[in-house]
Amino acid sequence: MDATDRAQRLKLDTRLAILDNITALNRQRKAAIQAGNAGQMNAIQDSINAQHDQLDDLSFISLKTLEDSPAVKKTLTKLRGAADKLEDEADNIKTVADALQKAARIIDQTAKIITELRALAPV
Amino acid sequence: MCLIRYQKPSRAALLIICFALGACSPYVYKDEIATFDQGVDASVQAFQSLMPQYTAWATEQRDDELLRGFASNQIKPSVSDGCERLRGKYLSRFAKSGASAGDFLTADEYAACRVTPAPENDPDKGLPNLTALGMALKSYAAGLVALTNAEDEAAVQSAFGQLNTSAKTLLASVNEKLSEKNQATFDAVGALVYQVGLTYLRQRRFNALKQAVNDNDQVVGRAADLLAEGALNIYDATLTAKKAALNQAENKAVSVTAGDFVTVWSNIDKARDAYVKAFQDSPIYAFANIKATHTALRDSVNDPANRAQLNVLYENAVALTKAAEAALEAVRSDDGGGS
Repeated sequence: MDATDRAQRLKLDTRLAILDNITALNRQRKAAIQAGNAGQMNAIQDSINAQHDQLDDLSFISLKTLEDSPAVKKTLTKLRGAADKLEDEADNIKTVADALQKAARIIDQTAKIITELRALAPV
Repeated sequence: MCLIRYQKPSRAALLIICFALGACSPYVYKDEIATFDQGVDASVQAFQSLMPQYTAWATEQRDDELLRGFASNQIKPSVSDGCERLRGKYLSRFAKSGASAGDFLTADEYAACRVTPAPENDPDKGLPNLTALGMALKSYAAGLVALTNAEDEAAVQSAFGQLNTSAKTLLASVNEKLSEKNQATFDAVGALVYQVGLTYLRQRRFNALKQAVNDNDQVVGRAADLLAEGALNIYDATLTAKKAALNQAENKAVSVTAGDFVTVWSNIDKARDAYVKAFQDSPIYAFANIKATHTALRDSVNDPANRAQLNVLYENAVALTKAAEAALEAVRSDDGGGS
């Protein structure tokens, strides 16, 4: 698989990982609603909005022809590890408290992947 | 069967000729189609006049049920996890199989995205689907009427003028995208000219259509793939916006009371429907259809059986024209004879 295909696959997997995290956060947002806790609900909703923005950012990154260089391959390997970790994060959000504590870290992890992917995209 | 042997016809024979010619005309069904169209209109109108009664009854039933439920369990309105899963499935299925003419999501998956609690009676579901059916029927009837009125060379010429322009634009766009991807571009195809659109009227142009369709099939297919991929990415923002609206409606439930329960529930229900519809309306399916229908057209023009049918059609058209000319001559001859 060449660098462009690997990057496209990585982009797709990152989008799916973000969606998994959004699903996990939404479950806890709904729990906050049922508990009548508007503060928690709003805090989780803010995190979901941030993840939605990241999802759209990722959709608009155009990964056309990437150079098949060792540097690009190394970056993609590193990002693959980060995307795999991001995918696991959704399983760790089981309570409203988890959602409130872990959302910021997830958003940060996602932002790093997007930034590096964008840097790979030819200008 | 439209060929009637002509000698020196009497007025009775002329009537038979005119009747036979009428039977071959594309306009022969015009009256029946117009009657059908009016019938559909009347039926749909009658059905719609019954709707307010049904809506009032079903709304009362639904609201009672929702309020009784809330009073007993205090469960606030929400949407099921099925709504959260739709987007992941849609995205991963596109990645797996590319552009598709059919919906990536099944009816069961859409149904799994539901508002809870789900009342048994709902004025927005059930009978209103029949209204939609009636409207679809009405639209179909209008299409038939339009078809009977479209036997016109100027209209065909105009349509193919547009096709010519769009084919050139399409080729330029596809080549631009292929260049960006460092892939081989397509050579310029000989311009389509409007005359190919007159195939059914003038069989001799069939070859022009065949050549154009064969030359453009790969271009159209690649264009559909590229457009579907682009559309998937661009359309993501629409799905996000619809989901954000659904969340916003759902968040109102945090402070719901018996006084506004039905309103909050209804707003979530509307937002849920809009979210589901956004998936169903995804443009990626339209692009896949372009590819499939063009390939079907290509296969059709290359099918020797179709060619044979066109030959027969052309021969019949020529024979029909000759018979009409003969009939006209006979009328003139009769009138001139003063019989």
